[in-house]
Amino acid sequence: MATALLITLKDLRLLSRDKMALFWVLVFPLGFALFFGSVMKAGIDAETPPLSVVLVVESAQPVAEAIAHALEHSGLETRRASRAAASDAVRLGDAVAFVRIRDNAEAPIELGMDPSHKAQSALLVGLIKAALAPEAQAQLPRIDTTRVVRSAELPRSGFEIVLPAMLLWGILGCAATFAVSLVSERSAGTLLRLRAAPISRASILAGKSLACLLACLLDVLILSLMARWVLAVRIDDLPKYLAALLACSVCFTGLTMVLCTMGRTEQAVAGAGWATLLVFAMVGGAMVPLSVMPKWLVQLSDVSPVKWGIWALEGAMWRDLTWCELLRPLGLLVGFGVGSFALGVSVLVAWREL
Amino acid sequence: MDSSPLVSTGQPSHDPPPSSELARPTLLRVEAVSKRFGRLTAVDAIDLHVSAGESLALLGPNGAGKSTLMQLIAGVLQPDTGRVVLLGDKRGNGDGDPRRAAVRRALGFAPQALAVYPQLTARENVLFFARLYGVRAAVLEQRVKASLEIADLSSRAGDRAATFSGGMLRRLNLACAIVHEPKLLLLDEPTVGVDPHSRDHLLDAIAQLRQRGMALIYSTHLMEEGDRLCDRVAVLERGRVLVSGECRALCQEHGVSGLAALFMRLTGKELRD
Repeated sequence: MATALLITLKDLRLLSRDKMALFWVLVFPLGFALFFGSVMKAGIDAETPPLSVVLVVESAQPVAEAIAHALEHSGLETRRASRAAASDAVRLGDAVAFVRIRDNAEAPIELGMDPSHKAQSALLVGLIKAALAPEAQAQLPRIDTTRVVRSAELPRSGFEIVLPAMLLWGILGCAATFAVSLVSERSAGTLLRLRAAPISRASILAGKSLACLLACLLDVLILSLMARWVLAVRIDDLPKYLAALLACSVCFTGLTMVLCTMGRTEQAVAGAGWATLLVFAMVGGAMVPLSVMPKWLVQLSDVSPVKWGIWALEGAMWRDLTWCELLRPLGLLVGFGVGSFALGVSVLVAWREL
Repeated sequence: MDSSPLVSTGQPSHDPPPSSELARPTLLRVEAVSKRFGRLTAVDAIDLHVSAGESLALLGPNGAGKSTLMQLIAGVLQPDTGRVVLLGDKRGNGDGDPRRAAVRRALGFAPQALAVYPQLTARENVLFFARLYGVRAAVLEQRVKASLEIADLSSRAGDRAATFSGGMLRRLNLACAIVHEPKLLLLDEPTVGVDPHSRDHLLDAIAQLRQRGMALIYSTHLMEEGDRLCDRVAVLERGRVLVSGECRALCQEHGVSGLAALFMRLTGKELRD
């Protein structure tokens, strides 16, 4: 018993001296609880920002005004706009839906939904129906729900909605793997050998980074092909889609350089690297949709490249973003990658690892 | 062979080329090189030289600065003061700078760590470093084969390094360092952690390379290895060269029977923790 206790005490002492292990057993659960707690609290306390809906009122009929008035006073964040402007607002993520009440009293009410907010459509239909008194329900036109996407020929599948997040997870895996491989080179001594070879530091960096970039691209291309063939996912604008994949890969290749400086050992870098990437994924909407997060967390999500990666991919797949509209997420991703790369290299040089 | 005078203990050695070596071109000159890491002076004003085909053993206890000196010579570290000149310096400053690619091709470096890729086969490891050092395609296969033969790994060339024993990994480490046929080979404690058979084979392989005219700097704390392989020795202690010269001459000078006794006399018996 005494010897067992001796071993127990030794193991606990080892745990207490392993900073990364302490992070996983103490800090990460707290962060995890904080994140999901905030998300759930927002749901319970109705802290989530009100749904933003654009009203397109083309009719001057009392019924139309009654519906618009009811929606404007139902707790939604509403504004009025033309059909084209409303569609753009939904497509660009500024509103989750638009409600179009046509001039023709017989024509159905058009409910244009952001496909990634499908769950809220039932709520909006309910609100529209509740706008009229029970005795006036007969005057309510039919409600047609459409999805504001590039092509409305067929309903988009759930796989098309989750594909961007899936691709980002693939890229995150590559980034974590390559960050650890760089540390492995350091600890195994092969980095020393590379530095003694007749090649420049830039060549070493370029070689490592290019490998990571190509692995990321290959990974997402394979996943995309599988999604296309197995899950019947459609990619409407291939050039934009490829540009988004490239920008995401550049971003996380750059980030790899920072991740590999987060520790001196493979274990430390693997732990710290995945912790960082998980936080980016959680905050960026790859685990929980941004729409259910409290406002402060949505604002915080701007610092996560995962958010911009998902946005760029959605923009290319079904949000029908123009090149000009894509420029912001693509620029942010590439900028984040270049900045991270420069930071990581600076640290490696300061550590005399390069 | 070398009749350079002994340098008194504690003083930095100024190690001029001996008269008998003047006929040979000097491959390496280490001139008053120092390197500090924070408060620790790892290498303190060291002077050394190695001529073509010559072999020098760097002997010293743990922490003497052998590996740091090796890395300075290999160009992995930059000296704080002094300079390392490889392949002569006839055409002025910087021409022999070990940071230059052409100069680095003349160096082969086997670090103390087993610097090979476990997931690659022995052949793939050697081939990778051959290409990295710019070995011409026409002789690439031949060089890889020859290196694996010297390391006695031909029969396991297609096996992953991860499946190798410690001794085999040490031999592969050597094969990777010699595949481009360097003029000067830097071996940093190449027999650490290997069994007597593997060690003996490694020492034979290194002796074979010496016979082919490859110059050698061999760092070790095993005296018999320095004695067996090298023309000259330099004993390092706390970043400084205590003595350097031909082994037999040094032993006679200090009235000791062998290198081990000389080493203990110069460095004392206290632990270097």
